[in-house]
Parts: sequence; C-alpha cells; structure tokens
Amino acid sequence: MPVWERSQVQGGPEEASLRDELIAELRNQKETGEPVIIIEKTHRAMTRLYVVWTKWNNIDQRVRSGIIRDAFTEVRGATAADNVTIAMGLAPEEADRLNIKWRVSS
Amino acid sequence: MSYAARLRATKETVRDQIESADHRLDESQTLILDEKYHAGIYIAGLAAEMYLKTACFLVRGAAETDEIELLLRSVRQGTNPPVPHGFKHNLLFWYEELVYSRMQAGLSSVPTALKNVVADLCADWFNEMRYRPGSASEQEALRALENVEYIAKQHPSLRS
Repeated sequence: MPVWERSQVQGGPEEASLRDELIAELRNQKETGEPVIIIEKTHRAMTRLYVVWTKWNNIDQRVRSGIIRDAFTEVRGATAADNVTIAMGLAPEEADRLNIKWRVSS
Repeated sequence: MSYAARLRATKETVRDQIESADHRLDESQTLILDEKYHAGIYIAGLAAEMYLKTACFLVRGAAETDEIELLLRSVRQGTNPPVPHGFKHNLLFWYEELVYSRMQAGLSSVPTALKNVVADLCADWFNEMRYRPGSASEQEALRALENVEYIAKQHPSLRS
C-alpha cells in the first residue's frame, strides 16, 4: 500500500479577513472592482456561487469554497445556503480560463 | 477477438461503472506513484464522474443491473432545458443532478465537504484535458486523488 504525506487543508491568517470582506460585499455591493460575486441559478432552481477575486491567489480551492459558503450563510441565511451546489473562488485569470462570464463587457 | 470487441460483448451496466470507477481510481494511484501526474489526475476525474453518475442513477431508482445507455437516454430526454454538450463527462452536471435527485427523493442533502471537494475537482479537471500535453505537479495530482478518494468513500451513502 503506498504511503503519501499530505498537507492539511487550512485557511491562512487572512481567512477571517477575506470572509469579512466578502460579507461586506454581499451586504453592500460595489459598482466596480473586486470581489465580483456571481450568483447563478441553475435550471433545477439551485444556486452556483462564483467569486472572482485577485486575493484568492495562493489560497487552496477548498478553503476558498468554505469562505464563500460561510459568508453567504451569514448574509442570506442557512436555507439559502443549503441551496448552493457549488461555491468556487477564482482568481481573474482562472475565471477567464474556465470560461466563467464575469467581466461587465462579457 | 479484439479488445474492444471483448469489452463490448455485454451491455454496460451501473454495476460495471461502479467497478470501473474503483479500477480507474486504483490506476490513478499507480500513475501518480509513477510520477505520471497529468494522467493520474485525468483518470481520477473519470472515476469521480462514474461515482457521481452511478449514485445519481441509483437514487433515481435504477438497479445495478440496468443498462447505462438506457439511463443516459432517459436523462437526455427528461432534462429541460436540454442537457449541456458533453454532459456524459461533465462532473458539475452529474454532481448537481445527484443533489437534485436526492432532494426529489426526500433524502438528506450531500455533506458540505463533498460540495467543497467537487468545487476543487471542477477547478482541476475537465474531460478535454486528455488532449493537452500537461505537466501537473505532484501536489496537484495528490489533491485530485484525495478528492476522488473522498467521493469513492462517500459513494455508498450518496447512492441511498
């Protein structure tokens, strides 16, 4: 049986700060700038969340997802959060390459 | 008889796909141990697709002996709006169909850890990655493998 050493998935010290910024943005969205929050309804009436943000660089995707879910739950409540299927945090370049439409002109 | 002809001697069933998912996951581990990281990620993603797809079919009442092709046809015909192009290999599609099917069947919602694992996998895997030369890192490969191992472990509880 192979043995692999794996690092634990943990948020860095900035995790709480990112969550707070996201909560503030969800409560009072700015006209321009980041983070860009995309709340997408699926044909099954479920919700996908994409947050495009330069600050995600160097943060594990699973930690990003946790931060987004926490912030969304705080602002929209547990019932709305239960309806979220996927919460992805993406740096701008990642979002572009995954074909996420997030730019105002796109 | 050619290998493809031997494989096609019987219709592919739900049980076949579950067994194939286990085999692909095992092969992914072997590839990653051999430092074939890109191939390891690709094969692991195929396993994830099969775990999610079969769990979805079983929650909808399929039997393990049911033919996959017939089940896929019913998804293709019963989804409005039409299923996305390449839906057969779309991780997000099968994951969301599983979440929806569990909800429709009155079953518990999927664990939050699974939601985060799928998000992570969707950021790392896409079916067409097989056409890219690619050079993933060991860390990326291990992360993908860990995510699919988690899905494999959850499969018994996701399907019922």
